[in-house]
Amino acid sequence: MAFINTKTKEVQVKLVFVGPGRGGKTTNLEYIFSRIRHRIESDMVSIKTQGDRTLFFDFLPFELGAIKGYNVKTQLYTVPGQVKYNATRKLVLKGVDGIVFVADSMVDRRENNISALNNLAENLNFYDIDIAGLPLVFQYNKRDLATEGIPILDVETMEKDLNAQLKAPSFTASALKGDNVIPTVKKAISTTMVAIREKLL
Amino acid sequence: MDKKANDTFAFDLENRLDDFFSDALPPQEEPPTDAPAVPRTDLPLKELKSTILAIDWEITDDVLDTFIDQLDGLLAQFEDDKVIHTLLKLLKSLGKYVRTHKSKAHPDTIKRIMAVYAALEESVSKDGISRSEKEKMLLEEVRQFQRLKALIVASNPPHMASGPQKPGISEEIPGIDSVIKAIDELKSMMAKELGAIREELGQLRKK
Repeated sequence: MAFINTKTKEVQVKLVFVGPGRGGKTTNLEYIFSRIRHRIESDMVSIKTQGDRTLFFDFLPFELGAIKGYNVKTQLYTVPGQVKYNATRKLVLKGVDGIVFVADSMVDRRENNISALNNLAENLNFYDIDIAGLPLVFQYNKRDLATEGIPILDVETMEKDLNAQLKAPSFTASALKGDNVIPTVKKAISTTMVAIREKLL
Repeated sequence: MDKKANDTFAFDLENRLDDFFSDALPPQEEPPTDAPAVPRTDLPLKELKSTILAIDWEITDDVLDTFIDQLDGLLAQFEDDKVIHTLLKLLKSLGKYVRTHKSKAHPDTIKRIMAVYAALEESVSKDGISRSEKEKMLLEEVRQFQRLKALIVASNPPHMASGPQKPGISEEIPGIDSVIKAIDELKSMMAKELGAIREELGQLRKK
């Protein structure tokens, strides 16, 4: 639930990047940070294991500026994708306003994407949130691997696997190269803001 | 809420987002125009990397069989390169160990597989890497491998005489003997090379 302070005219929105391990969630945040670091005062915080995996989460807070007289503060989080870190994943999802689901386009990660999405739905249920009612954007990441000869899933298959019922906006992307990373986060922020607009107007 | 208010909100929001993410971008580095093609030898490693990432996610018989098969292919391909060959053997030993023990394998094993793979990738793909740098990397990986081996031994208490015989470390990490043999060969080869260099230097001094 977005934190709205009507006295100070401040809105705090929490977006969480979710998806299978090694899918590119942290790379997304790193790219976003590289694009906006010159205009934000905050830093990106990452807590990683020795092997460079996200153990707890990455956190990137920034002020978007004023919309309808409200100063909008956005917080981007990632969660660890590995199966064993579900407790952390669940914790980070507390108070979430919008989700970016970063799916891995590699053929052999197909089942992992589906499992991660099911896990997300379960974890949201824990907070009485229906995934179908939450602002959500899909990102089909790692499309660039095709140029390296690594087999990737076609978009239709990924849509069918993940988005057939939810019918959320989706983007193909390469977080490593920055392709479509910004459109993804812009869409996620706008969808989330539109969802809370009634409280602002 | 009236439609006009909604439209204005959406308009303001889009403008704000466009401004925030688009203006005054820091100068972007131009991608090199003549990017070198992926080296031929790099391609088999891509498949191996993909398999290792799959192992990191979930340990299954299928993925481990694929891993061992890919390593067998690479072992044949890099037969003439002692360093790469030994790194591949280390990976195969670790892979066989994980295949035998699955989720009960020592928790550091996957991390070790990834570290050995990183050294392998650097040895195969990095341009201008010297032989001595490669050997240094290998020795570090061997040291870490032996450290893991010691941890595995330490975490297995000795069995009672009447109980079923616990496999020794050679069986615990299958293929360890062949790895040690390969390392010994490498050491002996390095010693020979060093001896030859010393001899050559001695002769130069005499002149």
